[in-house]
Amino acid sequence: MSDNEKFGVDSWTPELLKQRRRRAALMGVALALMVGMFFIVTVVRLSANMAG
Amino acid sequence: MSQSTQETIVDGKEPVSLDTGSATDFIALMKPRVMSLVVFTGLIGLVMAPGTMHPVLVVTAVILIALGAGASGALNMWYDADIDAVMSRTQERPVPSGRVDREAALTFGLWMSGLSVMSMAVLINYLSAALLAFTIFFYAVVYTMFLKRRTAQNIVIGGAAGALPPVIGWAAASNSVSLEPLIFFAIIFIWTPPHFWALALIKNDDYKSANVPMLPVTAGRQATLTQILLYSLGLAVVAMLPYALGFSGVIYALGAGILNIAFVGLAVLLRFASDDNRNRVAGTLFAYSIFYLFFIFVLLLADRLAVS
Repeated sequence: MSDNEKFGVDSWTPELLKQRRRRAALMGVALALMVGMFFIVTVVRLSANMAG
Repeated sequence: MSQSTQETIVDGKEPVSLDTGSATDFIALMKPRVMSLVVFTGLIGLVMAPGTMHPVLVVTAVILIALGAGASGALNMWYDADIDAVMSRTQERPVPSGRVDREAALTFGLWMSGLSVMSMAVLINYLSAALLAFTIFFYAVVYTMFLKRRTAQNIVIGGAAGALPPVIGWAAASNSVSLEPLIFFAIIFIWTPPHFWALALIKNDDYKSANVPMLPVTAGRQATLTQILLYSLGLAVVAMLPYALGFSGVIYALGAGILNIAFVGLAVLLRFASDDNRNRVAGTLFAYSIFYLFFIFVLLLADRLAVS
């Protein structure tokens, strides 16, 4: 069921949709940064272990 | 109906809020100003700890400490939404103002807590993760849910949560806790009551109307002023411990001595201030206390860098 069907066709105003898109974009960026952080830290730790 | 509280009825059930807040509101939920001091003291703990840590790991640990602090802030705002709505200082926060749904704040806080602690455990070490988890629990549950509305000692005991970040930083870098980070803890712990009681003196009516038993509400202004002075004297002693115990040198001792004299001087001025001047002096002490803590930790770092 789509959000519009769930909440009613007129429920999502353009402003609310814009706000939701911004939140989703920010969450996407945060998740990408998180993945990047895990990757980089793993590389750093592996490098340190190999050097050791 | 305003856009910020837009709701719709689904099959005759409870209204569903469609507006769960903007990204800025969620950042505000994390109390960025409080977070900045937490991050700073945590970073000092990291840098002062023995051994070397890869810069990437330092940045990672600081980010995770910040996320944990933000999670605590969000959980605090979720639970305190009712009293925040009553107090002028807090009624514009995202939850009481209706910009963020209460459940969304809770969900956000819980996710952030889990994410920060788990990541700390996986990426840094278990000790710092355990300390971070304890800090979030202490602030959100022990302080916010139990102490804040029950006892005038709320911020005295609750201050432990705000005092832990340098210990977390130290543990992140060294995977241990020694006397030195515990002294950093003690400095922030003793600093917290005079800092918050100065604010409580100014916002006394707010706390009274929200039924929050801050010391000025329960014991009166004079007793609070005396307590501020006593804690300030205690702080002056504790802040000299890094020098007395040989952790810091003359640079720290001189700087901390000057900062202490000003802190105690302001506390004395406040104790004997006239009714007309009291709030102004309390405001000065509150602002100075932030400056004081920042520079105490800057001095600790500067002294260490000068020696090495």
